Amino acid sequence: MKIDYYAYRSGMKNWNAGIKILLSVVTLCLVIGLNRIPVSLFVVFSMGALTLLAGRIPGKVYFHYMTVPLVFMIVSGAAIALEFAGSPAGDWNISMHFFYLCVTKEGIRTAAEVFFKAMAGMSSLYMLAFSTPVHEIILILQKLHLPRLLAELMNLIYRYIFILFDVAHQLQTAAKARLGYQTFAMSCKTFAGIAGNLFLISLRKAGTYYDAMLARGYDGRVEFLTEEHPVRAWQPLCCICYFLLLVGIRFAG
Amino acid sequence: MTKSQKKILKISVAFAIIFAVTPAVNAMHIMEGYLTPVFCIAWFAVCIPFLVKGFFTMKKMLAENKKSITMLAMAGAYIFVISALKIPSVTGSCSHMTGTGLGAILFGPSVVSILGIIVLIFQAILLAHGGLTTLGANTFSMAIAGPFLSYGIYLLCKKCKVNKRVSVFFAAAFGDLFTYCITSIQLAVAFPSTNGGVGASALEFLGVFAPTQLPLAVVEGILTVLIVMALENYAQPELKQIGFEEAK
Repeated sequence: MKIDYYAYRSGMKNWNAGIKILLSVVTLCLVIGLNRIPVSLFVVFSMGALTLLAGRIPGKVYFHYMTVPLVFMIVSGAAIALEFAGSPAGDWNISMHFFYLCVTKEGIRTAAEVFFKAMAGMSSLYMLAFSTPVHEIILILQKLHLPRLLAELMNLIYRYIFILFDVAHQLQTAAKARLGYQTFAMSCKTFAGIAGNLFLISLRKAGTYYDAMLARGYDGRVEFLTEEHPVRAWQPLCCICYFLLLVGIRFAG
Repeated sequence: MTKSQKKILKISVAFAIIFAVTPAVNAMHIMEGYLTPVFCIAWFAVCIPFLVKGFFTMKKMLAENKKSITMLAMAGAYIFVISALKIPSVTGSCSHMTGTGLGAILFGPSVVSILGIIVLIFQAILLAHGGLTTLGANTFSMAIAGPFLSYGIYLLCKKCKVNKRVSVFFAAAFGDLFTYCITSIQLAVAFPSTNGGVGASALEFLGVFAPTQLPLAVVEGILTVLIVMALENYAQPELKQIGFEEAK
């Protein structure tokens, strides 16, 4: 949950949220639409630079988050590059007695393309996540005509997540202090106890919060107020130049 | 070594491999940037009917009882937190449960589809699991296919008067397995194998993810049973409040 903490401290916090979402989403679409390794590499470096320099996110934290999905990428990359066949096929192959493990140049190419696309996609998602608090994102979604009910629900869920995390942390500490994680069987039991109690506590809290909302005049609508950050003229211009640059790289390369 | 000793050694090695080669497993979210635009949009489109159904169910719940708003929000937050907690493992590696099977049993599958998409958005933004362009595909596998199958199995078992714990175990474990199968198929459709087509590719993806996902499904099943048992012991009135019937 560190990302949220850094989003509130980001140097880009005072940029207009709409611009940041536009930049991130259009870049994402261009990365997967253009599908070229140079484009992806350029996005990885430019978005990384934006997050690290303009957002002033500590490098260590950023690199840690870039490696989160590494296992998924390596495993699925292997599945894309490798093929199983009954007879020798492809450009290279290894006999595994029952079948052949084959690799084609095309397969490796696809795997590499996907790997860099995923890295580029992540860096542009992180640009958004590390710079924009969630309630601002919800506000933009609401402006894009997300039903009111869902926007309210998202806001409430976002708030409750932190409350429940606190409770879960307390329960875990208490369980640890009482040697609840000594063996595998015991930790399963402890986990279930924590999850069960968390459910109980969350439902009770839901009741309490509803009463608190009623006491403050809840009539079916929850209002959330947010600071408005105006768009500066250079921001959309830079975005357009950036998108054109990406398309340019695609056709130059 | 005698023959039986060798056998035991082999089994223990196999056990160690299955459980030791389980690094950080983030319950099979497809990463950002993995799918081509066509599939991003197509999977979203597949989700829409389920989301619409879930939305209307929610509206009805709110019309009947305004209090549902905090309850639904807490349910969403609960699913998020459960799926973010580290579950116990033999080797100390870090893995998570999906929590949607439990959600489907407790709250019903159509509500979970809406809560699921919200949870997935937050997982992408707050935890860096999954992504925005792959949101449609992930929603279909984790918030729609898994929960609906879980709920179906749970209802079926209830009708056949199967033991409650057994039915909860099957519901959660198969829901998790189904999520993993659907994700593998989604990846296979996006990256068909050159000489075997989608089928061969699906087998490959199922194969490479099996060592991490099969034990995880069993653990998820066991944990869900334990959680439901704990709830029945301590939270009887709350369970009634959300309309969860106790089947004996």
